[in-house]
Amino acid sequence: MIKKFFTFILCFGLIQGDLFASDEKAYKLFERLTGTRPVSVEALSQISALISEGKKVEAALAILEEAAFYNIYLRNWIAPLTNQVETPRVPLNDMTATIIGLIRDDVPFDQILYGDVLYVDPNKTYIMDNNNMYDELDKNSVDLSDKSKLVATTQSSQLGALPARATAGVLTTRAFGDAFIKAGTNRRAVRYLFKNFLCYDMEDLHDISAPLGRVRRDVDRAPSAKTSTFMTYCAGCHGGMDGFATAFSYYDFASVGNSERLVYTPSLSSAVAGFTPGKAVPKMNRNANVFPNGYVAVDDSWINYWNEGPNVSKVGFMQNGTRFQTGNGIKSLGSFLSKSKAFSSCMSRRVYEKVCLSSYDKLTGAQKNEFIRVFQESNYSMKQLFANAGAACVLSE
Amino acid sequence: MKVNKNINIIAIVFVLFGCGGMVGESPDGKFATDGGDSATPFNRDPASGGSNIVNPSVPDTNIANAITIPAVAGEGLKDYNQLNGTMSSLTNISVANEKVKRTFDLVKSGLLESHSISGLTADHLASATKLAASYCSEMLVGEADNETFLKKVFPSQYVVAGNFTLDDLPSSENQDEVIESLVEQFLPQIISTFPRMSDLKPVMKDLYSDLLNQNINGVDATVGVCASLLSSLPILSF
Repeated sequence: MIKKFFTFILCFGLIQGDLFASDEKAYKLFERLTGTRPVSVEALSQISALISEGKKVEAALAILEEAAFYNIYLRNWIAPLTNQVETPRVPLNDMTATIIGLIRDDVPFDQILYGDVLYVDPNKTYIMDNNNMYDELDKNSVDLSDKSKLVATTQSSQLGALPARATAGVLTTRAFGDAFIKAGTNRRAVRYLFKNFLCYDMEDLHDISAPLGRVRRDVDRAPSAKTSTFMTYCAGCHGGMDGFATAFSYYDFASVGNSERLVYTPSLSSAVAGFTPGKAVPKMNRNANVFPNGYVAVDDSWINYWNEGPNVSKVGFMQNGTRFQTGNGIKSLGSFLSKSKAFSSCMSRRVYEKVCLSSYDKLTGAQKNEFIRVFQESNYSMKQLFANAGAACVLSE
Repeated sequence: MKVNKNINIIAIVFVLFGCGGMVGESPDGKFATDGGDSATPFNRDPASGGSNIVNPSVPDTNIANAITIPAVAGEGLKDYNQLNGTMSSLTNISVANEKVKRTFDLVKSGLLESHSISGLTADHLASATKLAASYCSEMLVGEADNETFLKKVFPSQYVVAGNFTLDDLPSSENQDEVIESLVEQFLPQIISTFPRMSDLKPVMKDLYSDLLNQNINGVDATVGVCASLLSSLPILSF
């Protein structure tokens, strides 16, 4: 009798201990994935139960339904991708809201680079000329996790002069245009496309063996009268980058009337100051006298001159049997790059470092491949990536 | 007003908590102008109609093969939004509360936007403590509709008509109850990595006494104790 009693006490103690451990893990997982604390430990009883059943990823997925994950955690994670300074201290905008929406609704995340998608306030009219809709959402502390307050629509139905074939996920949002397409020569758009979504800046991809057929006329082939400077330094980036930059030939973010907005020249019905309908925007061919024999951008075709040399394995471009992959417009470029290994790896890196607060480079190759595998096998589900990262680094301790 | 008073407590809080090819030519040797005789012949991807667009299917959210290799959870500090959200949920005061929002807008620039431990500077700590004081002030004496929350967290005799109340000089026993309540709310003892009640209590009680000895009334002293706990390192960090 006494033996039975002690056995009961021992078992009860073990079960209680396990429950306490689950509660603690649930609390820590919640904090990692939302950046905040639960109101109480008791509020996490369902999460705790899932953990004690060994359903770690399910527990993490349940936490991802918390409003704080979208309004606090994701927002500050995404916002630096929408500006050159890379700070989260910027107002909510269409790019941030769209990425939050894509993750919330578990849309295949590769669409971020080519989908005809935009997340808006259903009670307001989206206007490309300003950020007012998102400023209002911000001002009123609207819950972005609420599917009735931030809804999916198509850019082609909202942006007016942008047909579906010209949309390219967040690359054709107002925020991206304002930050990366405005002024310049549209090379900045390529740089940040690679930097933010493939985690490679141009210097990382420097390859002087790349063909130079697409380097435009504004690039001096002999800086300081030295051709070797161009061949050794400039060519390494421009060879590949300029091949991609012409995908943006029809786009500018410029003043139209009294406001600034994204311009897509094939959609212009009549000449708008500074633009010719259906032609490359003037900035693509500026400074033509620097090297008159350079490439002239006449359409939006792009070519991947980095499909030979060190960048093939580094980026892991999708192969289609051609020597240099090609396409027309940023929709096809976004689609092409979203299927690269670098895109999956970059998203894994960003999620891992956000959730686990540790350098992705400290992981072994096998560990990195696990994250990439989960992302790709789940058809680019960011929720799976976040949940698996949380489970791997918080619940495996 | 309450916030300003509580800012004076910052120094004490810090001490007690230890705040611590060839140029211009295409591969085939022609100038790449896309027009006329010297155009580069770009190959299109016939499989996708020349667009290279790959249509996705719906995400499979029920994948069986979750990550099996454990990873290491590092440490870091919360960014400004996370800290605001944390203090909000622990005190049950909305981030949209007018007074708290005003304080947050004032101190936000002093708070972090990354998670690096090196961001633990005096500016960051001072800003965090100001924000904590604002939340504590609203929790204990400012917001009239959080009676249910206060009664759940604190011994009910201190909660009257939605307001937190204490005698001007709370008894030692009362101080114990308040400290225990605050510690359990902000640093649940079920979490093994949080400081232990037995270690915290004497320190917090000293702080309570010091504050009361400076002609601060019981409620304001409680706000000070609350702010010191709410801006402590276990709250600021992961």
